[in-house]
Amino acid sequence: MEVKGLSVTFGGVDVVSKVDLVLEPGEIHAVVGENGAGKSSLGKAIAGVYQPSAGTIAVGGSTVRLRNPADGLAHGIALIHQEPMTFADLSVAENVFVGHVPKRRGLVDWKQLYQRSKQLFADLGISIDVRQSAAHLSVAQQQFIELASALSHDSQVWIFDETTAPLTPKETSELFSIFRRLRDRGCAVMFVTHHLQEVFEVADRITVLRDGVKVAERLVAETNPGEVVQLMVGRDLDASGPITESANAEPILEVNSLTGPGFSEVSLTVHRGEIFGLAGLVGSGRTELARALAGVVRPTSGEILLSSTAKRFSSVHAAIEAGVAMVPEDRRRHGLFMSQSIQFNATMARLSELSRHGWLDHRKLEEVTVASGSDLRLAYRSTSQPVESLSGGNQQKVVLGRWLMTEPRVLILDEPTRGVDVGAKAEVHRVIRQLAEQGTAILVISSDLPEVLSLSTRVGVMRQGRLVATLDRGSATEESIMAAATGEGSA
Amino acid sequence: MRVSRLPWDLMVLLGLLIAGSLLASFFIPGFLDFRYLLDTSTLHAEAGILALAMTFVIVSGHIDLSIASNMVLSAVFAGLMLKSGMNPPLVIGLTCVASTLLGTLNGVLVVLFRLPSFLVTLATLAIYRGTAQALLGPKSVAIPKEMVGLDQSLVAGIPWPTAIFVMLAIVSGLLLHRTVFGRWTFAVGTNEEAAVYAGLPVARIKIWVFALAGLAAGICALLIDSRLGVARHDLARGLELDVITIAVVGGCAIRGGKGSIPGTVLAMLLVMLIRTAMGVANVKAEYQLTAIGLLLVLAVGFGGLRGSPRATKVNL
Repeated sequence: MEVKGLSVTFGGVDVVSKVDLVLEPGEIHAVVGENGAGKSSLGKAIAGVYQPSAGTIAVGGSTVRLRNPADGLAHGIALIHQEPMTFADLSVAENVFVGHVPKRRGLVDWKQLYQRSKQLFADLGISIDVRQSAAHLSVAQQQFIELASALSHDSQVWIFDETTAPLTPKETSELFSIFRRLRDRGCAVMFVTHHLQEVFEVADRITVLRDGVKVAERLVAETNPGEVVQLMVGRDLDASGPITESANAEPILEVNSLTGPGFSEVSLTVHRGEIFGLAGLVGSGRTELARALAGVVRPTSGEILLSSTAKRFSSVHAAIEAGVAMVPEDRRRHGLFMSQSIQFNATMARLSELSRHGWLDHRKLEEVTVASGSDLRLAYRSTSQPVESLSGGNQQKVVLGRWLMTEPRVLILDEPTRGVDVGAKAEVHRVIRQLAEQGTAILVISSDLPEVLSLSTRVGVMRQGRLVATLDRGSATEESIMAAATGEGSA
Repeated sequence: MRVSRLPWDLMVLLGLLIAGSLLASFFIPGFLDFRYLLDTSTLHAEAGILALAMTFVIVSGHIDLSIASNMVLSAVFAGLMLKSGMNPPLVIGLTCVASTLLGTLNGVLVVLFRLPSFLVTLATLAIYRGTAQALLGPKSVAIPKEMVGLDQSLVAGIPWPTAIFVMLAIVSGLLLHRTVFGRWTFAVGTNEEAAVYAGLPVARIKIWVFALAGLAAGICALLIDSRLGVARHDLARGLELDVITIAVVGGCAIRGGKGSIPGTVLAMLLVMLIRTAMGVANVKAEYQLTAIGLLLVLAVGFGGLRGSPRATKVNL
């Protein structure tokens, strides 16, 4: 299939601009770019979700006009979503054939339904009980349903829209073996992502988008991650060298046998200028610990000391006053007021202090928002722009900016770069290091091990609510962290 | 405010208002007489004042269905106090305190039991009006002469109730759009969890908002006593419908986080226009009610349509 001069326009802005793209049968083609580069929109336009404002889409040599995703499917183009929608009350097999259930005399032909869906999953190399209800499936299994469904339409072009983001490493490698299987069947696979590691693991060809424009196309064999990153961001990233250790610095945050909902008997110390990484599997109690430290929930026992003074936070506000700030994990749910402006969001934690006797001081609010934006290299048009119009990376910068405005002594960051593009990630890392150099004690929770390793001076590992290991920079490796996190081997 | 910066939902309201006025004056000669409109406005000042307070409640993501019942109970309470010979300034003060407490009670119930405000205030809607009925039965209590007829007296050429509405509109506008409290109200209504994580006193903000609704009910209780000269338990039945309609037509999103005082003021004028025009044209009360209901549906549908491009907007 071939795309020529394709543009997608939203509200007068070209999010995809005159892109040419050829998806060859038997090839895995990765489309990469920062958040907001237009890669998802390109995929959705090809699949018929969006109407292109210009350009043509040709399947097998003939130009087609796709009015909706069903049109796309009819032309053999399938779009696999990051978080597919399944009907929880139906079985796996019914979900696969939703809309075109095999029938006999007007009634559902159950035997054929189960047989055919079993065959589809077998073709994909997936083992799953097709009779079970879809209610308790993992995200990966729900994606598999969408895959099987696309296969049932005999799709020839497969577009995967950031499908690996919610998957575990094991599920990701399962998905990749399906990619290869599809390629070997002669399908064209298009894979939208911003994880370069994955691109170099599975793709044959790379297209790089930046600000909606195609900036490069490369064969994977002929390029390297460094070059692709540069193409994506269009500038050199800050070197991610480790910062100097501050071994004899004073302790800022001390936690002694802290116990609360989801964690127990946790003791740790974060010194002035130190970046303490907190690793562990999802559900190991890291986020719960962070919430207690930031005053969102109250611990049941143990103590928190700030600069050697015992503190009890009765509210988030009390924690902020004491100099503890937390950038929460789920920025849409806990971080942002999506429909409100950048200024509204950035200044919310410091609103009283930025006002005169309860009256908003618009000039001052504007001033600090602009200053925070330029500190974090926020890409925006106006401070009155709603944050929902920003990309994930820029949204994260707004949240980060809000907490930096409180001038914290202790900054807790929960998954600060999840769902954030490479450029914004480097920016967030730069800011974290800079804050540490200025003396802030930093606690970074992250499931991204390379991130934990490159940022942290020490790494704590949590398992089942307990801090099971504290590793120095010397002894912390991905292997030693994972061993401690899973309880396999000696940590 | 520069016209170019008027948000377009306000422009639409303004357009409707002008078109409606022209239409009405075409069919009803003398409709656009300024004096006549000012006189009529006293009939709508109460709904307008309550809608100002309702704007805060809805922006915070809640609703106060009990606002008219609170007004009636407070009106009966004031009537009984006046009848017992208490001096008027004291009655005014006590009535406002009582109504504010009734509003605060809503807020406390919402915060303490984490109940939806829809249910809490549906219950207090019945409780407050029921209490008024229990206090007074089918009787009515006459308001002493010196307290009656505020709507007939003028200040700077404007009837008192209308002047009070204008003053309160200005105060509310400043409070909602120019203060920390106003912004906090928007924050709680937009995303309550994020408001907690940002360190806002969420519980206190909610209680304050309901207390404001209570205070507005008290002010209106005194206005209606003065206007009608009697207090009864069955005053202003269904007034909450008009109040909520005004707020929603004025641009309040029922899920919270959106709304404005200028919008509410324009919507109040629009509802007044429709009610007055129908009244002059001898449209029966039940049809008037239907028309207001239709207006509410239209406003919600219109808001929904406006919201939909946002809902389908992509996360790039």
